[in-house]
Amino acid sequence: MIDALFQAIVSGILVGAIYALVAMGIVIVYRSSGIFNFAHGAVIVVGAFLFWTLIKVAGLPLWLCILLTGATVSLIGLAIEYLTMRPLLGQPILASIMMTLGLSMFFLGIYQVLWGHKGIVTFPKFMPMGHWVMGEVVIGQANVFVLIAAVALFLLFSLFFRFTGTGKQVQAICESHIIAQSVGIDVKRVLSVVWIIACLCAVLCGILVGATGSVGIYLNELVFMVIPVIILGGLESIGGALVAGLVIGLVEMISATFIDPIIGGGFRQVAPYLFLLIVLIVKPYGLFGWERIERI
Amino acid sequence: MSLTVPAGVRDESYGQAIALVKTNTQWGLAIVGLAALLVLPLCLDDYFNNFIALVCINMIVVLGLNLLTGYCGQISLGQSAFVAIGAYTAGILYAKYHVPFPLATFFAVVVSAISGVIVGLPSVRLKGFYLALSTVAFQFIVYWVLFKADALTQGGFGLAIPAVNILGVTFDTRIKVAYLCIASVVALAYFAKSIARTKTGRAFIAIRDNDLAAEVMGIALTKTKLTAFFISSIYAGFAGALYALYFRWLMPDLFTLAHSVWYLAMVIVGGMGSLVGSILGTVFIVSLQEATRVWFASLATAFPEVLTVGMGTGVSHMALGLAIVLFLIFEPRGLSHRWETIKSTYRLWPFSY
Repeated sequence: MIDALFQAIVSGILVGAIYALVAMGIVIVYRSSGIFNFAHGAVIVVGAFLFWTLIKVAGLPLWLCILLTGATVSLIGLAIEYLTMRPLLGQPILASIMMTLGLSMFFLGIYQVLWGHKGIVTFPKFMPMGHWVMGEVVIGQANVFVLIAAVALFLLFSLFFRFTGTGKQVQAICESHIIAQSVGIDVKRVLSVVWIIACLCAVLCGILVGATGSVGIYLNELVFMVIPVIILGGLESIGGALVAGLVIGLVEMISATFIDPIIGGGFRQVAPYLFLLIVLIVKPYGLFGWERIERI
Repeated sequence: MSLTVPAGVRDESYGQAIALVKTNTQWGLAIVGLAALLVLPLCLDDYFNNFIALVCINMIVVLGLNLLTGYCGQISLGQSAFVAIGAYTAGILYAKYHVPFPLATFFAVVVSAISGVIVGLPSVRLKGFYLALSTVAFQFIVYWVLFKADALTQGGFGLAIPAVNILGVTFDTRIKVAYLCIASVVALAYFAKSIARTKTGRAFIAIRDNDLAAEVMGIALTKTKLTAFFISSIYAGFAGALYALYFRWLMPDLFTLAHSVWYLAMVIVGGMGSLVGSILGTVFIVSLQEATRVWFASLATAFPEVLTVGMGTGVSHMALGLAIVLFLIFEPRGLSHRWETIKSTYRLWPFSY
């Protein structure tokens, strides 16, 4: 019983790290442009399969694969911002929701054409894949790597926002596009940077999560699985995404361990959403979200 | 409406001012249009009647969703969950408990409307994305319940529904179903238009434009938002009952988030806050879905060495995604805006404005 609890807590934190990694990529876009990027999952899928093609099919060395995938996906990010998001500045938010959903469909179509017949694939081993066993508790090494990456990414973002000029400009456009523009910040350029960063986050996530298990179209569903995370953390907070990712991971794994046997399987899929509804009633703007004061 | 009336037509009484159809030309067009709808299913084969029924069912959902999203500004990404609730309520009552179908439809609408109000409750405190994401959560929960409550819904196996009999008429052929769907759409479109013109409809628009200002002006915010959810889920529930009648085989996979996304796409492509737009948008998107499905499937069978069947679906997904993206960039106000432009050009010709 105690072992099961420990295993649930450990797995919960490790699953939560994946959620945090995905959520941070979405939050950084939302913060700066007010757009919830539903296409994030599709970019993860495309990035992961691109990486797989380079490393497994083409057999290139690891560093070159990472470099090429990163460069390609940065271009995708730039194209998304320049071609599709820029015309939407000033349109209602529903238009932007629909735009990212349409983009998601487009990228999944690309995935299906290029890699759809491959099904689920695995990367060749390029990082420790073994398990640590402590008593009854099993810890996957690759998952620990994901957790480290999530924390590192959070620290990196914190440093970026605090100490670099571009980071400070991102902070400024989060407050208000109009005010940022009027003090001389090139909002469009900063938004391009943000989209590139978000797409690089997606690729990092695709590679790491792919390394913990396998790569398939199901990675796209991560974007819907992290919705409870993002709401709990607050749509604007990167630190919130990290904390909430771990919390939701715990909720999911603990309910999987203790409630699934009673209800009969599958409850872990909805437990985060039920938790989300409770959060929305108690604290609608999440733990660290901005509660904007409105004036007429 | 007043813009489309030709010069010289004056309203002399309140009845004239609120009339939907004002001139003889409009009467003529309305009658011709209705007559065309009456004759249309007779001229088409089963495939197209099937298609018409599908368009009409989608159209009912989209009319409701447009009242909620386009008029009231509350985004719902969980509309197909309401359709599912309506479809399963009607289907289970009719197939398992042999309740007469009209009564089953009534219960479907009631259950769907109640769940709509419950889902709408967070809208009292939430706005924009937070609300949209809470409806996504509802969508997933309903999808999961449909699988888990397999004693009632048969889970992933699917719930079979016998051919529906309403007042002695058995809806077993495609042409009968098409007639029923067309009649429902006409009635519900009229109903939606009527709601949009009343005090409630104007309150919706006020809330969409600025809900704080609306509240200051004396609009009961909570009540009006919940009314919007109530009405839109009535539409979804009714469409669900029709879906049970039309498809006669209900599975959870017919009511996924992707379907909700398509309903929203129909609203946007048609034009938010325009009921004509709902009709145009639905026809456009459903036709596009069907066309890409058929074309790329046949393309895949024609060139099996180049395209696998999976690639065909991939290409059709790309086409649909691209269509939405291009629409948002080049026609963000939707097809209804284009329709208005065409009408005013026709009316003002040969002058530009």
